[in-house]
Amino acid sequence: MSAAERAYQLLLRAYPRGFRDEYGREMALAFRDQGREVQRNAARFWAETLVDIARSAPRLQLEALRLRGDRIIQTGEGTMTKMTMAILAIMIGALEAMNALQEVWGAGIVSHDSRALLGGTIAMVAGALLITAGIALLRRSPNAAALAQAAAVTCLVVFAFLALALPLLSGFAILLGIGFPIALFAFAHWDRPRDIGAPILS
Amino acid sequence: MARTETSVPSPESHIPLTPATFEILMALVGGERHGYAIMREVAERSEGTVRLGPGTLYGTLKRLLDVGMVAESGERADPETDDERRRYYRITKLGLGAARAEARRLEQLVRAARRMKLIGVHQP
Repeated sequence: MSAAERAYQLLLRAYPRGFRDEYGREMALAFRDQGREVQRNAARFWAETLVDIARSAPRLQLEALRLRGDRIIQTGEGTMTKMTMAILAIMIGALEAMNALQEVWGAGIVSHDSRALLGGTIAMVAGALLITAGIALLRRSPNAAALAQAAAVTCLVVFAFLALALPLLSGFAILLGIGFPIALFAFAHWDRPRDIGAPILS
Repeated sequence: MARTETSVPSPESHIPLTPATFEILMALVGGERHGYAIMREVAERSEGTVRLGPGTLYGTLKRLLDVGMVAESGERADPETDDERRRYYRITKLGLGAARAEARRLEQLVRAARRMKLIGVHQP
């Protein structure tokens, strides 16, 4: 196998695993044959190959995800709830981490406000934990429930800190700050003894 | 009332086809081919202006197999060129119908373009 063929084998990893298993060998053969024909213009050939991968792989990945999504929906309400909690955890975690980063930068580092720096740092940790817990729930990792509970507790700590520092929080902030961590904690507790099954994301 | 009969999609329900899909179906109208032979056929017919990469080709073939426009017709070595066994594909009745419907659609478009003098007249 030539270096170019080995490189193409690596590039094939951009495609979903199932698709690779089914068509990877045929694609590698077609690539090899194409390469033999266009030896004189290797740069153009590689450019075309990369464009081909960039165009086709994302669509096939999306199709594979959609198929997995359909399978998840068919497997029942519990899995759907887990997906919803996981996606919410990732979204809220990302929001929290971004806001905290802004807070740390603006108030903590620029204005030297130690309270904001501490609150922002804990909030960033909570955001990162939420994202990690969300991904672990999606992947059905064995430690997903423990991670989710740790994230929920950290979020509650952040919220308690914020509630003390900023007593006039909006209803939405209260809902998000207290409601979601409690819901996530309860869900993780309920989900712990259940069978973790096959991974949703590979 | 729930439907009990399985509905078979008509070829027209798949129209318009993507350019890659139409190219692959046209290549298979001439007979069963393996992946690289389809790529060659498309490149030759279009005089090199259309080049399907392996990703586009097999991604499209997979979708065509899923909807039943193309079927696999076994695996064997290409007697002309090759030492490796390859998977061959053939067009189905549904695929042929869809290719015909797409060709008619494109023909109508070309007629309309001609009427509007977009083509068929010398440009200044």
